[in-house]
Amino acid sequence: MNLGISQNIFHGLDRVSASDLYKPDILHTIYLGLFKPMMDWIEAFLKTHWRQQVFDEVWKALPPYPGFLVPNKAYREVMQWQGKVMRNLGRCILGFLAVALRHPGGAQAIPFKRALRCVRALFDFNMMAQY
Amino acid sequence: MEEYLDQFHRMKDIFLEFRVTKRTQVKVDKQRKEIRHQRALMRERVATSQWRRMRDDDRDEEDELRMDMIQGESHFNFIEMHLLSHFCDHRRQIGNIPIYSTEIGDLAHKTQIKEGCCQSNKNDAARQIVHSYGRQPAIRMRLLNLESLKTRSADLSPDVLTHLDRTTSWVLPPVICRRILKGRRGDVSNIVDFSQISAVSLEIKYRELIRYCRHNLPIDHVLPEDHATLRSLPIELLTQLEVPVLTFQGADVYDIHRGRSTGTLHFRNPGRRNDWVWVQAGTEEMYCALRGRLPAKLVDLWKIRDPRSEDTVCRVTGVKLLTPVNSGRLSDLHGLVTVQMREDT
Repeated sequence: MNLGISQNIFHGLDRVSASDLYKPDILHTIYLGLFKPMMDWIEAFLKTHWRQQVFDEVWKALPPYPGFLVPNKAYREVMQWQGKVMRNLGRCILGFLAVALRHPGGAQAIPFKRALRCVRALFDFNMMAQY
Repeated sequence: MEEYLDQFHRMKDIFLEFRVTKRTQVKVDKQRKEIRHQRALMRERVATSQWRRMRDDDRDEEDELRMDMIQGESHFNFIEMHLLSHFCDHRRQIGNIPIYSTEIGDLAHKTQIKEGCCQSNKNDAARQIVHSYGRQPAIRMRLLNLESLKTRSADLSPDVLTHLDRTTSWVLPPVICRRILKGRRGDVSNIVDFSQISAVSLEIKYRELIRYCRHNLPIDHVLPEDHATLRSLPIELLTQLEVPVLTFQGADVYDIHRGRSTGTLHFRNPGRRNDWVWVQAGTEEMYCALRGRLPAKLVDLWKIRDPRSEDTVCRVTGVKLLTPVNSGRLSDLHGLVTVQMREDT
């Protein structure tokens, strides 16, 4: 029987519980840890720039595709987020945002550009982390 | 990966103002109140026009102070921000992240624990559950190894061979890698019927069909070019296009992607459905990042039959192509390609 955890270096340390250490984990670190706050920021960002309506419309208008769950509610109506929905979101959020932030007014151009770059970098990172 | 992360950290400041905690908010409010109070003490009565101008100035100043405060107080110091930086190393050292995840997932409710429990004899079950889950992939791997040994005709004992034959006696169905049209509609028999229920006019249909025949069909299978004969040819209208797409890293395994085009009809829920597809519209060098492909909307799917020349059948798909803005170059603003609808087709 090879049941049981063999000794590792963390077991001997004071005030450290090996099971509570952070592990590389896509769901909890990236999806729940970063996407969720990121979506809050994006939403607040859209709200300050009056683009929420467009975002919701694009969100609802997506056609179905194999392996892709079509969101049937507008973004603001979704109450509970599952890992799968988050994964879907990771694939298409950049497109949504690019559409929602189309035609920036004079002073908006720079923040929009920065926001898109930022979101893009994070979601590209996620894509790489999956493989 | 590091590059992406680096860019993310450089750009994330744009969202800083939305990471305001309650404590910071309270501070900001307090600061604003103080400023207003001071101003009220300093200023005596002033004329309305002047007052309005001053109020605008004040507001700008307040906003600036508020932003300063927020920039100073808010931060991105939470653990996930930092954890990301370990992902790259981890991946390089041990490999892909999902398989090494040690979190208890939702899978535990069924495959890991329940099935293991069912298979155990309920006597000291925990031990058996842990083992049964470990055993499943082990057996699968073993079988795959034996299978590959067999194909390389290595020496295997006869009982292993008989067992392998038994477990893999079923043969994979031959892979069909053609595009298939499905979902015939009964209400259309010729091109005139068709143009009545379609959004595209008869003239355009004739024109495009003749153009298609000239460019794409072999000489002996060309459809007639006069409108009267074309009108008499039988047509079938279909609603579904099945396209086999190679799976990721798969050599001969195909995923079937279904594109539907209900034309003007409604599909299940109230709403018509005309799916988007990629169309190879030119050579690989065209349209820069799109590499010759353009997104297009399926407008109609149909077959046209010419009974006079040994049953020529043309399978035709009407698509509405999008045009890439700036001929497919990545946009400077967001690094994506923008496309737009064409006016003419």
